[in-house]
Amino acid sequence: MSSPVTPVVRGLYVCEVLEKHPVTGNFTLHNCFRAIKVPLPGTPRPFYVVAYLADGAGEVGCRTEITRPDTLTTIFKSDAVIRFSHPLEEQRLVVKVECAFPVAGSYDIILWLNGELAALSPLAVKPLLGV
Amino acid sequence: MSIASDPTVFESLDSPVHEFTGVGYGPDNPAPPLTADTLLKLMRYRQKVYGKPLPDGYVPPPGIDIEELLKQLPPLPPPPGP
Repeated sequence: MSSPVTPVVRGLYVCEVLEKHPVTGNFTLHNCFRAIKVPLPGTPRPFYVVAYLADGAGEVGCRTEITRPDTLTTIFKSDAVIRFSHPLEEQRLVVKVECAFPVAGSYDIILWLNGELAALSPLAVKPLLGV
Repeated sequence: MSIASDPTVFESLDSPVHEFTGVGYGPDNPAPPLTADTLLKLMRYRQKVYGKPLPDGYVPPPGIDIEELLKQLPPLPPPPGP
């Protein structure tokens, strides 16, 4: 049995709507974004973090995490284990995010693979005023 | 050729899809505290992408020696010359 190999991240995207083709299962990501406005503190409507992973082997621990800009503490976390059966295999990881954002600032959406920081995407959260 | 008469077929990626949800944390449900190991990994990455390892005014969790972690970071590259 081959030893586990941490995959590479071919892409880390954040989108509002994820549409899956009813026949092929292929994805269309709608309204990919890097910033949102929301009444603070507040909970925006759910959105999706999508990662394409490849070149892995064996079991891979995947943690998707969102950290606060000021304290670096976690406001959202999703843990999962996926298994690669072939190095050329590509796997798609989809995480539905529902969480409250306490303050404005630049949050980090982080993908940890086998305990190592594999990808990071900033997410600017701005106050929505006048609502 | 119009799209309606285009015979192209976009086939399935046929790659596994893993769909998950997660847990949100807040004042009523605080997240587990950062460990020194996790914070160091985060600092290394933040230094690489943001140019500095920590946000301004950062206060480390109790029990973490931030000065010790800062010593373990790679040195910043020199500023670009004229």
